[in-house]
Amino acid sequence: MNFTYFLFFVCIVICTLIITYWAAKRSKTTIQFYTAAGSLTGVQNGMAIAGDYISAASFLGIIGQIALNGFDGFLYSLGFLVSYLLVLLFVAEPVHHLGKYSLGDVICARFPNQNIRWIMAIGSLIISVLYMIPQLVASGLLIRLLLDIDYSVSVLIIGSLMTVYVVFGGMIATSWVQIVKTVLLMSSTFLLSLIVFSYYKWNVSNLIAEVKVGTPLGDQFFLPGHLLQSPLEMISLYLALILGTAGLPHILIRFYTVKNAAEVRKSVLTASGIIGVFYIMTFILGLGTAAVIGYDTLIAADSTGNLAAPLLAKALGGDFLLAFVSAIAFTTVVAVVAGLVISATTAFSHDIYHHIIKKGNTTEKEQLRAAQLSAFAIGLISTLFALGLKDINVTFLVSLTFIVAASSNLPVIIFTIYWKRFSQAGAVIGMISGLVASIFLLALGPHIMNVDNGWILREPIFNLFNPGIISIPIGFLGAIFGSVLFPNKEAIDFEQFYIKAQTGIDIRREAR
Amino acid sequence: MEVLKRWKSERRQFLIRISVFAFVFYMFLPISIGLFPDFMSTPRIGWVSWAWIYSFAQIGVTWLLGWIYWVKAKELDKLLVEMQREAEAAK
Repeated sequence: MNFTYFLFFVCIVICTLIITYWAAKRSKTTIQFYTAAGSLTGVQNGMAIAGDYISAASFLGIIGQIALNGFDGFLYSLGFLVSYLLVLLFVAEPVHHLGKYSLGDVICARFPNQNIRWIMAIGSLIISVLYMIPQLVASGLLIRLLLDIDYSVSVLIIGSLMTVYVVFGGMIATSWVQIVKTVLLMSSTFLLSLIVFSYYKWNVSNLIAEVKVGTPLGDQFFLPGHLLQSPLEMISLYLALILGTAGLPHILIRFYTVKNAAEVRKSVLTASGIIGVFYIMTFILGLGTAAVIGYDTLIAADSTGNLAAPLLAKALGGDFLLAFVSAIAFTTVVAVVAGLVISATTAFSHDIYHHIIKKGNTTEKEQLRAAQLSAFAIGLISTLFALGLKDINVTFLVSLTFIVAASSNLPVIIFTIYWKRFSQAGAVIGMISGLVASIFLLALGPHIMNVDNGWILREPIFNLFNPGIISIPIGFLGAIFGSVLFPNKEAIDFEQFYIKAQTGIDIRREAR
Repeated sequence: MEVLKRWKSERRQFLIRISVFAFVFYMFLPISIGLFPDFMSTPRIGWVSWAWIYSFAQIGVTWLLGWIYWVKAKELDKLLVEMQREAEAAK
């Protein structure tokens, strides 16, 4: 590793550790640990959401996908962005009003029951850990390629950093690491985009002409259908992306970190503004990579196209810019995995330990200790998994996360908030059927069953890479049938619950 | 309680309208590429085809709908304040 790389890398680590030290002094209570005591402004939280959401898969993967496949790569970015509208309109404010620390709190505000809490906690844990492992594996491989450090060492560094941030600094450190990451990521992609334009003398038609030369697709580059051959695949992917975000626990718990509904709205609008601008820039960088680097060099460096941004940086700005972009990629990964650790921690220590095992009878000090120990254990276990899964293709776990979130968490969240006749049994059946359908369809699909390079070397039984179009309706139907077949025995005041969910006003209390 | 009723029906109508429009607008992108691949892919201005115009429009529309919701939510918040004032006066 040369000196420039080392310098950037050390700067980032020191900067984030200073943040953690500062945050540790402010994380003395559970509310501070889990939610930063609602102290963030909407804009700050929006930046943190963008930092939580834009993973290495977006920064590196999408630029590569656009460079390799043109239009279809861009479709991913659109789905990721559009999903925030659903979050804004239907989910963000009710989650803020109903819950305290976790997603389990939201559902238990309507169905105060241990079984529901179990299921929500397990669902959140599964989603967060399944998302964290591929991020760690990918980052290990990537840091190895970029900085020439051994895979195990890279995973250990990232795993230890994310654990340290969360154990000592809780949500405050996580949020500020994410905010810093957003600023760095946005400025570096903006800088790179400007360099791409200036490289082609600010003439877009020159850039487009070079793209057509650089890719074997030629004129076809700008047409849809290079990555997602069947329209059904495209519709299914788009559906899972649009609906998935509203079921992701690590994004939803961020709405507890602001103080009121207006700030919640501001958070989502800021996040979608940043994410939209970011994806427009990744589009420019994707074109830039196809034009400046070319298909063959990109594929030769790494067949997935993940090295597009670093290669482009090196071609345009030499070793210095490459070192900068590598450091940004590193920050991107640690910010996302830290967000996932805190979400898994909340599910375990708040839902399972505090509410289920201790039945709510723990002191403030015990809760904080439990949260820190859980964060440590979750960080350790995920790192160990990532170390063991080095040679296994785990990228499909990222799509699995979105599909599981959209098929199991989303129906339960939406029906809990908006459907009067939704019942406890409906929640359990909806959650389980969505989860089982997603995992089952993915296991029978071409990600796992593949003659060329699957875990099971045979023809897939189910032919879609993206089973969302089947599994999402199964989750919703499961919740509907469960509620119709096993309605609630006790009548609840839905009107009162609905007003509380939408406004935070408890009309029962107001009326007293 | 009149204000509460008005708040509920306005909010419900707004959410239904905006979400039906959004769902149709967004999902019609992949559907239209599947149904009319030639029409969507033919370059109209330079390399830019309807598929690209529609895609970039999705970003603009997401921001626009977000802004519309922001404005509407502020309006509805005012009704809530009125409702709370009424509740206080009734005590």
